[in-house]
Amino acid sequence: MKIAGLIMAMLGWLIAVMSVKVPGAGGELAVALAGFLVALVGVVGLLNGAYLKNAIWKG
Amino acid sequence: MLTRVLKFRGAITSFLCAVWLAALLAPGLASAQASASASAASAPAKPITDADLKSVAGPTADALAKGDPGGTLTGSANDVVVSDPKKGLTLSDLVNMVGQNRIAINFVWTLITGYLVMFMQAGFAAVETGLCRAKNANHTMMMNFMVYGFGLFAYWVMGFAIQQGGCAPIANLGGLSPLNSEFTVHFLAGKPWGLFGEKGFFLSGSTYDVGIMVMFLFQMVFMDTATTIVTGAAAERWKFAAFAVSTFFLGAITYPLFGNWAWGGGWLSQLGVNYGLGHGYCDFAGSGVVHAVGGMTALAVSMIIGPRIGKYTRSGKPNPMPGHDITMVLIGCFILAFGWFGFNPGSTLGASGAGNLRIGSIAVNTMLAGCTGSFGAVLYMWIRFGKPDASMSANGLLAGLVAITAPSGFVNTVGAAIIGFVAGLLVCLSVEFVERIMKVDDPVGAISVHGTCGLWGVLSVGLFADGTSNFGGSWNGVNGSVTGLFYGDPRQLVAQLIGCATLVGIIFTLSYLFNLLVDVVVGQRVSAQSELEGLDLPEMGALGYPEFQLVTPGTGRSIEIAAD
Repeated sequence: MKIAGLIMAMLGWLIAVMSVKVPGAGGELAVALAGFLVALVGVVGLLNGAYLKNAIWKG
Repeated sequence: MLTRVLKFRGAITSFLCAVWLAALLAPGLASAQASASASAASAPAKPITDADLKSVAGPTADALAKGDPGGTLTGSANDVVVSDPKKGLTLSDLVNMVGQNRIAINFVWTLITGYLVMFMQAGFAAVETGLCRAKNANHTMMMNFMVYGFGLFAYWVMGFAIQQGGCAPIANLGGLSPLNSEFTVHFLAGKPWGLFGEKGFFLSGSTYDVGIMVMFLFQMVFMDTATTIVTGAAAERWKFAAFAVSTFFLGAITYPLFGNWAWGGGWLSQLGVNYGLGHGYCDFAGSGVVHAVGGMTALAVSMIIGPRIGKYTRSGKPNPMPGHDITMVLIGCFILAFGWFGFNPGSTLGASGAGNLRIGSIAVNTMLAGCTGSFGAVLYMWIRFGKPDASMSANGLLAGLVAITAPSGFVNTVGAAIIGFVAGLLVCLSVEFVERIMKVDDPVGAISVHGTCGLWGVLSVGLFADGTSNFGGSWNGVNGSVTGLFYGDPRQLVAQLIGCATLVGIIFTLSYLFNLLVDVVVGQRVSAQSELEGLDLPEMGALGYPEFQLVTPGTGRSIEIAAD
């Protein structure tokens, strides 16, 4: 799960970078925003979620 | 009666004649003046020669010997440095003096603002220590103290070279010509992507240069600001040895890498030149480079080491753990706000030429955003919890300052006020999100202040940049002024979003992986016993407040120091 979070974070970066190949400013904006959000979900959702499953305060 | 009528008619006639004459002559006079000035303008200017300068004389030695209380004699032709005393003052001397004066002004400006940024370390130390419990005062203060040494050393060894090794030319500081080697790969449509610099390790060889020393000092204190952000988020449970290794890596690799991509001529800064995305990634003074990099690393370390013992109940409900000295926190905030006048206006790297007179506007933007940030946070806390919380007001001030750091050189005062106010609200929401939803323990709110509001600052450039800045006529190699979405350029926002995705996707990942390695090799977290007793004795060997009896609220545990 932690690895999936990191991969998703880097995938988000790649999506954002690929926005330069999208025609039109609106398309670029949408893809770059999507990439940023995917990266955030990878870190905040998946990676942090994995830590919460075994949080020390649960023990 | 007839005589009076005739006299009156005569007067009227004289007046009309005068008006007619004036009307007749005026265009002629005007055109005569215009032609005179035009002929003066079209006449070839007489070139100044060395001979003309012979007649220029400063005040005599006798006059100067009497003193100069009015300040009218000091600073004259006598003070222009001549290359050959036998020749006397020449035109070449004069021109060289003008050039050197410009660079001297910029050196002094950059150095003094750098000294201000260095003093921010004291502010961070006060804020973080004040927000921690008294039993960890020595440990927290020492992390903030030693971050200066560890970070500086790493940056001198390799960090500066990686960040700025290929940044030339920077005209404000005389060119910095020896910093001319950037490692580049070709990617996405075969465009060059600068990844890291290759000149300036140990500041040796050709980089032993006066301008480069100024640049190093200024960039070094910025890097130290990023490293000190992490110590706040990981406070009260971070092993000092792990902190030392982690800080070295941040100063040597992570920070310089993003610094290169944004400021050192790297790929992010070239998004405009290579792909037409506005002026490329724009981050005037470092909301992204300094604060978000620090914030992302703080998040990574906080996740790895986990929350403090007692921070969360078994059901995951957060317990408040108030700091021990709110006066220290607020004084620290004032020190930081003062230092920010070095951070942002100093990032012009000069006060003379190339649009650098915008420093006044940048300073006012900085002041305004800090003010509205604090106002936004106070308003939020007052409405939500019924009291104007002091620690969150302080964080609101810092949030506004963090957010305005990237756009400070590109926005007007209205934009700055909005950016700061939004940051003040955002930091309160983010602190709650990090604490209650993510359940990541951050004793000082560093992840929210620097991470969240750093990202907001980066994005706000793409929204609020008003297209009036003129730093030498171009920015990141693209002619014209940086312009955001609200002023007509949506593609600038695309560049800023790519920067944000890089911070979250690449910089966070890099920081996370390295700190995971440190966790395996050194161990990031102190023992439970040390944490409960406080880190001052087990980690540092001395208490921060040896003459006091410290009691940990809720646990009943105390540390008593017997008088000798």
